[in-house]
Amino acid sequence: MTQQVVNALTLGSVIALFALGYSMVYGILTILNFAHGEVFMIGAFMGYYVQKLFIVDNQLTANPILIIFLSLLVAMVVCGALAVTIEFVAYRPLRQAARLAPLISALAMSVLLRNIMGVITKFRVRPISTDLLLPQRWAVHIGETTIAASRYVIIGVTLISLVALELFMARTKAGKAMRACAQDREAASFMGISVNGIISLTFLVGAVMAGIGGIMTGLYYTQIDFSMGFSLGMKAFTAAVLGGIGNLRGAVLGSFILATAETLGSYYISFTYRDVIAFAILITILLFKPSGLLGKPIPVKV
Amino acid sequence: MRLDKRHISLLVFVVIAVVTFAAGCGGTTTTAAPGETGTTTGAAVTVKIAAQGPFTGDLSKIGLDALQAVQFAVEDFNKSGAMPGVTFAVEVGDDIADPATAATVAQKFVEDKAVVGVIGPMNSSTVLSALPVYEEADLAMITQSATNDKLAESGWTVFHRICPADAVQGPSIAKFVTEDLGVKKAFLIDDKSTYSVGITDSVEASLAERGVEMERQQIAATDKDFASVLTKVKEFGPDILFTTIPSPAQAAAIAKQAKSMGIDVTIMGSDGCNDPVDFIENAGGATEGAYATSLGPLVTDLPTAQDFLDRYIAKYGVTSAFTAQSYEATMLLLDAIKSVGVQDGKVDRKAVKEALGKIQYKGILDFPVSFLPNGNLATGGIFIIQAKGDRFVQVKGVTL
Repeated sequence: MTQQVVNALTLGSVIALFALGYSMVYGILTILNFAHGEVFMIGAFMGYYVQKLFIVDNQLTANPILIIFLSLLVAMVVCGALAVTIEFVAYRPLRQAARLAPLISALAMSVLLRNIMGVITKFRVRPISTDLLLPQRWAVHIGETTIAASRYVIIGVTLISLVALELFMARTKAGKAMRACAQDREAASFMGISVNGIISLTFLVGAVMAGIGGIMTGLYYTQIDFSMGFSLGMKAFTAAVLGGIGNLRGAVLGSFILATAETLGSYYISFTYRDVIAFAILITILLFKPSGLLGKPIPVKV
Repeated sequence: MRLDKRHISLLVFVVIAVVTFAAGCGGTTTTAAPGETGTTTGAAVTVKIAAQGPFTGDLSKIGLDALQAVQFAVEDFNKSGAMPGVTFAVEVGDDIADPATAATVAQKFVEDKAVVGVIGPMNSSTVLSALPVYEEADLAMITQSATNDKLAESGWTVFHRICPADAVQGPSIAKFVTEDLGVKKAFLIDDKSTYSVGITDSVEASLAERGVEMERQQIAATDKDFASVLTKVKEFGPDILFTTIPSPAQAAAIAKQAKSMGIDVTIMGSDGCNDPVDFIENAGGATEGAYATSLGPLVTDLPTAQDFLDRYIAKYGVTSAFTAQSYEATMLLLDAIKSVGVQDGKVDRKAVKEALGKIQYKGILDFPVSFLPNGNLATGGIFIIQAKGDRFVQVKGVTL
């Protein structure tokens, strides 16, 4: 049981880092940024490429903590830059277009990036050497429960990232501006906030989180492929909806609820019905709270 | 400036449209080595054989590896000049391992009168849905990898497979692990696919007969996180963990995650795991000592396959589980077509089917291939292989 709690916390962590980006962008632009999954996937591949530089003959040539740190840094920079570019190319020109146009553009961006990465990787999976980076001997044993190093690193890094994001949103001027834009874009621009700048910043912050998530997911799954952004993206998106899309704390809460439901459900009921259990919970919650757990009902504009 | 912005977005859409369109159009005809035989005078006949399999999607790796081998075989055959005046081409049909798509692809091949034989489909589920379409048109097919027993049980005349059925593989695996490894407790995993469920059922039934204590769980082919199911493995404490699933990469991930959770258990896959790159190299040592099966003898050890392997590796770098099987199946089909011959620029599909039923072929696999009336292989057992270092070594051949 405690082992499953650790599993649920780990899975919840990687989903949360992913779901935040969906929720942030939706909060400010009310569009679903499908390409976010691909940003996340490319983040995971940055981990693979950095790790490859430091592995010779299945041995590390540098301190593993340094390698992970460097992977995180590279993933954050690359994902951030990529997301800002995507916004500039695929969404900004369609800012005044009908609601469906950016949606199609997002889908196209997602398919495009996924296939480009597929061609680059020859559609094969790539290994992440978790056992070298976070060796088995670093595991912590609490009674019957083994907490592998990869588990507490993932949970720890996620906690730090979430606290940092919370502080950024609550305490900094830019964070305040982002919240203002999410509330009312027009009013924010009247107050002298550069809305376009803030939108770029939103994509940047979401992508940085996704970059961290990508590296963590690689460590957790031990292998990555070009389609991982899509499959995990379904879960992240579900988590964001469950928590109330647009609400950041909701996205995190939704992620952990979804992960717990999946993990415990598959353990106590059946592994076969894992997704069924998760989605049954989603539907039940949405029946009673259509705007998600922490979401605010959207007023009908007359 | 407004115009500029519109141009940019228009350009982006055009690029996206072109790329997605190109990505979607897998089905192209590749004419192998055209005009090399020098038979440019008169009407050179082009005869097509079709290759069906999952060339995109989750199982695209096994599909593309097989496709390469099919194309390689056709090139070899064209170059050999065995049928002067006839050029063979490969018609490619991607069924994304989806039964509904498989039937559509089969229909496309049936309607193309130049297609006289099919290599594939590769999954038991896709074979099952494509079979009625092929049967109606008398278009013979040889699958390299569909092992489900049911396929040979409905009296299909076009069905052939160059791999042993589950009814052979399951009991052979059970025999090996109980008699050679002394297994008493086993944990089985399948991925809900027809292939995986079929072989796992067969292993489970045979192990039950031998009194082995068992637990079984299902994963999904898209799963990447096995923490939950591995916790069950840990609690059960089996001697062996079966990963009888079609994706060697997924089996490697299970092995790696088991290792990272401190689970010490022997891992054994079926023929789906026979892939040195995905199962051994990508596992970074986690699958060292793990077992898998090979439906034919391990080609890397066969003198008859060395020439083929050298040339193939020079061209494509690596071989995988279905490389030799696909090559052999293609050569065998071409041999059958050759025995039928071309009349009025056409090859009779029914005659090809009948030729396949009577064929006695010995190629790179070094055992005589012939088919039973139900399409099953008349000869050949299965082979147990083990991951040692960066490759598989053959441990033993099992016959029932």
